[in-house]
Amino acid sequence: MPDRLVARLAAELDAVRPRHPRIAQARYRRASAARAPRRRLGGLATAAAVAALSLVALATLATGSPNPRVWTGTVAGELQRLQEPSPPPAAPQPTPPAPLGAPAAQDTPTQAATSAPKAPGRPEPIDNSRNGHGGRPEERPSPSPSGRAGHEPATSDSSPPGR
Amino acid sequence: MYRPGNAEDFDRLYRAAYPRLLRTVYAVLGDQGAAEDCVQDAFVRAFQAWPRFRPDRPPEAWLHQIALNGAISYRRKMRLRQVGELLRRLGRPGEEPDPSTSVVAGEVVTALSRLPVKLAAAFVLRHYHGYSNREIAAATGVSERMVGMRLAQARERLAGDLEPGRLPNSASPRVPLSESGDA
Repeated sequence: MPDRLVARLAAELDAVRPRHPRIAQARYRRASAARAPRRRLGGLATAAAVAALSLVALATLATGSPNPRVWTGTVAGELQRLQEPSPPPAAPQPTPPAPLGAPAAQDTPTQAATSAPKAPGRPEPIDNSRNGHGGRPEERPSPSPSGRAGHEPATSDSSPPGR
Repeated sequence: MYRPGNAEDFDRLYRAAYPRLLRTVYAVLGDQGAAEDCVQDAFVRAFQAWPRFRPDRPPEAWLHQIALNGAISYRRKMRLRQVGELLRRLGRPGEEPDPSTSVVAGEVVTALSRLPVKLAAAFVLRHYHGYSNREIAAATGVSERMVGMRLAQARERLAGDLEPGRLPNSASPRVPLSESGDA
């Protein structure tokens, strides 16, 4: 019985001839073709949304504010700045001299050393009775022609003549 | 080997599987027009799911599963429609189907179309397509044990239906083609 049944089943099913076996007539082909324009529109809409979001993010990053008014203000300002004629490049100005009344620069250690008062250990003797200049010390000619004698400390020549 | 999402591979699958799928669904529904409609719908659904197809599955079993689900839905709709038709023409004589738009089904197909879809599908897949129980289980989404039980039930019921004198004349079961396209 099963073999006969199977043979009859095969005979009946083999007799079936598909009426639309070709791919061009397949419904999935038509359905996908009908859906293609919608899919294309959907793709365009998605691309536009992504572009708009990117622009918003870029503007927010560039201006530091999510407010569109700030963006327009920034763009207007930039455009205005670009349209203005740029001034000629300024020549480098010399550094201004220090004003006269300004305090002098701090003394160097050597200057400080020369301007410091002498050590109080050797006071210079004052003799007003002999030269009669009222306490002004007499200038002596320098023994050496170099002119450096005035800076040299007086040693044996400092004693008054005639003594 | 079919690549998921590849349109050319799907075309190849259509060419290879369409006749076999059509015969399975025809055996289950007993109506060639309805079977073509169901199979075309199954290919539309399969094409939509094609990018997600797992290549480790047998593609024809996958298509059979989709097509048989469509056949079950079609049968349910047809039953509801028949009830509606019966209520509408209460008291009026029934209209004879137009012979020019009808297809005569064989005895075995007629008996199969009276079985539940799952039993008929298991029988056709096993004894006409030569599927193993495992492949039928993959196509119908049940265990192999359940497939064995369904096959035994189908054989038993077919044997009872095909006894001499039990089945009506093969020329009488006519299904109008005009009804098949509305599913």
